[in-house]
Amino acid sequence: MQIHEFQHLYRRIRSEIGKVMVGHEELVDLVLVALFAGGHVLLEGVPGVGKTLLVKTVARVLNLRFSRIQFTPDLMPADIVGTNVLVTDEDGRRHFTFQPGPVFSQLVLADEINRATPKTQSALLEAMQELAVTVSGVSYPLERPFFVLATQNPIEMEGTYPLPEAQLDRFFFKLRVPYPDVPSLVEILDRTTGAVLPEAEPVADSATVLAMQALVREVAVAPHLLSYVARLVEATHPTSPRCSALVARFVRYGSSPRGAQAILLGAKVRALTAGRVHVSAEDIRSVVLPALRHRILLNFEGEAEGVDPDRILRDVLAHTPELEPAESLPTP
Amino acid sequence: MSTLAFRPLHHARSRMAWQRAVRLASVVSLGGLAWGVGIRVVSLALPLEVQLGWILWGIALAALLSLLVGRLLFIPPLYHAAHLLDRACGLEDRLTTALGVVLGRVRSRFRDQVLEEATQALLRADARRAVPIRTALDPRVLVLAAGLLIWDLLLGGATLPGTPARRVREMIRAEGQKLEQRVGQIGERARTQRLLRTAEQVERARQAARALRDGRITRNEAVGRLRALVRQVEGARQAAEGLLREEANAARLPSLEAIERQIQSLEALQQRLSSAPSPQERRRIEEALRDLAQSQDLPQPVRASLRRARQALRRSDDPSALQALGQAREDLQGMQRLASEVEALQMLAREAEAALQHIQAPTESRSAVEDREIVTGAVPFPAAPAGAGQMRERPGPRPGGFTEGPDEGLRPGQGSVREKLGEPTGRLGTGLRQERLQGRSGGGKPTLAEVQGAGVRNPPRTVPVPVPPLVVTRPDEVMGREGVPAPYRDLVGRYFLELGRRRE
Repeated sequence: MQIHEFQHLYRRIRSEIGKVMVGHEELVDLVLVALFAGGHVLLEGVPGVGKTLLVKTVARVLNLRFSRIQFTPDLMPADIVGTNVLVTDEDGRRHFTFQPGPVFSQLVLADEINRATPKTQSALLEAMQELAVTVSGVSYPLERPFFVLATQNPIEMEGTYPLPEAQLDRFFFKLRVPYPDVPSLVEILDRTTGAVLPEAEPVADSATVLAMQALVREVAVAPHLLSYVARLVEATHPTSPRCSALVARFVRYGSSPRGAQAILLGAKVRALTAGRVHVSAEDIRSVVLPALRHRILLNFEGEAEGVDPDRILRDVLAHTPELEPAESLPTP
Repeated sequence: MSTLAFRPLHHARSRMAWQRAVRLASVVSLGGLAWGVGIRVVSLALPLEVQLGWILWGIALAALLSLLVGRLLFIPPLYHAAHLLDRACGLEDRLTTALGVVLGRVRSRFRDQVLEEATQALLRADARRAVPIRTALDPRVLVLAAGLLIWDLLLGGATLPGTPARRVREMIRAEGQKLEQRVGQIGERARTQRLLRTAEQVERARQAARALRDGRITRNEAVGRLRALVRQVEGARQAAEGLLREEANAARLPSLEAIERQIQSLEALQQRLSSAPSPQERRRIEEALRDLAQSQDLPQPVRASLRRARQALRRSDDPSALQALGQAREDLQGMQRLASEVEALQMLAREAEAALQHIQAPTESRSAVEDREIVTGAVPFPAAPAGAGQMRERPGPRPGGFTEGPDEGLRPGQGSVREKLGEPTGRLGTGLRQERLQGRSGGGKPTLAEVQGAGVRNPPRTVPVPVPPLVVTRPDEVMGREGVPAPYRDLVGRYFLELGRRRE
C-alpha cells in the first residue's frame, strides 16, 4: 500500500462514517487514528450521544465483525471470552468443545465497562493486550484486526468498578464524547426521524485495515521528535526536573512508556492522513491529550480540587520545547 | 540528500549565528543601559564620576565585542538550523527528518521520498527571510536610553541632601565661590593697572568659577575645566614672561621690585633735576646717572636714555635731560606692567591650581577649608597702590588641613566637623562675601593671632572639679570620647591645663 492509497481510503472511510455520524469530527478522527495505530479506545460520555452508533458504523464501513457486550455486575469472564461446553457427538461420545464468547470479533463494543467486576474487566483487558484468550489452559488467538471500543458513563458512578490505572493504561486513547451542539442536534433530528435512515457502505476490509496498520509503522520520525515525545512523557512525572509547577502540585504518577508509544503511533497516523511520510511536531501535539489524559494519576490535592488532566497536559505542552537548545545531535 | 542541498542549511546556520550574536549584543546593550541608569541613581548619593559619554561608549564597545564573540563562539548545530527552517518555512519537520535520514537515525521505507521532499523544500526555502538577522529594537532599550539622556539633561548633577555626593558638590561649589571671589580681586587689579592679558584670562577663570559654583558640575568636569584653565593661564604667563625677557634684553629676568626701585630712583632724579639743583647737586645727579647707565640690570634702551640724559646734563641742557629721563622711566614702566602681568597671571594660575588640588583631593574637612580661608582668604593679597609689589604676600603651598579620621567628628571614625557643625550661617560667611570685600583692602602682611578668649583676667566661670587621672595623662583620648572635634582639642586642652595651673 502506498501513502496516496492510504489517504484516499481514509477519506472514503471518513466520508462514509460522516453519512451516519453527525458532528464529532474530531472524535471520529481519533477513533480511526487509534484503529489504524492498532490500539483500543475508551469512550467516556453520557448515554445517548452516539457511542454505539459510532462503533457500529465503523464496523460496517470497515466491514469488520462486530459484537457488543453490555457490561453488568453479574457478567462473568466466561460470558466474554467463551467457555468449554459438554457436547455429545453423533457417535454418542461426550466431550468438551470451546464455545467462543463475544470477544471473538474484530470490533468489540464493551458498553459501560465499569459496571462489571474487576475480574470480568480483566478478562477483556487480557484479550486486548495479548490479542488472545486462554480457556482451560488452551490459548485461542483473536482475529486481526482486533479493536475494542469501551464506553463508560462519567456521571453515574454508583455501583460501578472504576478501571484501575494498570488497566486504563491498556487503552490507546481515552476520548470524551461531548454532547452535540444545536446545529448537530438539528442535523441528527433531520436524519434520524425521516422515512429513510442513512446507511454507510463498506469501503474496506480486514486485509485493508491490516495493510494500513502496517503502513503506519513505516512513517519516518525525526530524532528530535522522538526526544520530544520522550520529554513530554517525562514531564508528566512530578519527580522529573522537567515537570511544570502544575504537575508537581497535582500529579501523583505520570504516564507510562505506553503513553509515549501511543503518542508516536497516533502521530504517525495523523501524518499519513495529512499525506506526509514523516511526523511533524503538530501531529504529536494533536494526540497528546487523548493519549495521556487517562495515564495521569492525580494526587489527593488534584482530586480534591477537581483538576482536569487536560489542563495539566496543556501546561506540559506549553512548557516542553520541541528542540532542546543543548540537545546533542550529531552533525554531518 | 545531495551536497547542494546542504548549502541552504549552512547558510541558515550562519544567519542563525549572526542572529544570536545580534540578540546577545542587544541584551548586553540593555544590561549596559540598565547599569548606566543604576549608576545615575546611585550617584544621587555617592560621588560616582561616570560621564554619559563613557557609559555610551562602554555600551557600544561591549555590544560590539559580544556581537563578535557571539558570532565566533556560538555556532548552532546544523540540525538546529534545519529545525529553524522547518519552523520558519512551514516545512512540518521535513528537513529535520531528512537530516535524520542522512545521519542514519531514521529508518523508513519512505527514505527516498523524505529526502526528495526535503531537497525540493530546501530549494524553495529562503534563508534570508526565514532567519532575519535584524531584530526589532527592544523597546526597553529605547526607554532606558531616553531615560539616561533625560536624566542627564534634567537631573544631571543632582544629589540627595546629606549624602557624600552632596558634600562633594558643596565642596566644588565652595571652591567655585572662592575662586570667583579671588578672580574678581585679580580682575580688579588688572583693570586698575590695565593688565590686558590678565583681564582676558580673568574672564576665562571667572567663567570656570561660575561653572563650579553652578552645583551641577561633577568632580571630573570641574577638574577638567580647571586643568584647561591652568593650561591657558600658564600659556599666557609664559608669553608675557617671554615679552618681558625680550624687553629686558638681559640674561636674568628683572624682578618687579628691582624695576620699581629703578623707577623710584629715576623719579627722584627727575625731581632733583627739576628743582634747579646746585652745581654740586648736578654733579651728584650726573654721577648717579653714570652709575645707573652702567648698571647691567637695566635694559639697553633705558641705559641709552640715561646716557643721553647725562650728556644733556653736561651740556646744562636740563629740559633734554629731563626728557631723556622721562623716556627711560616710561620704558621701565612698560616693563613694570609686563612684570605685573606675569605676577598676576602666576597668581591666577596658582589659585586655579589650588582649587584643582582641593577638588581632586578625596575628602577635605571643614577645618581644612577654614584653615585655607584664614591663610589665603581673609586678605588674599594686598592691593597694590601704584606698583604691585605686595602681591608677593601670596601663600605658598595650600595647607593640608585636617583630614577625616578616627578622631574626627562627634563619634570616633565617623563624620566630619563640617558635617557636625552644619552649614555656615550668613553671619559667619560675611567675611567671604563679595560686598564686604569691595574697595581696597588694607596693606601689610596678614598675621595670625592666637585667640585668648575674652582677654579678661576674671576668674573662669567653670568650676574646677577633680578629674580622673586618665584625663590628665591621656587628655586627647578623653576628649575624643567626649566628642571634642580634633581641631579644637588643642585649644580645649590648653584651657583646662591653664585652669589646672590657676587652681594650683
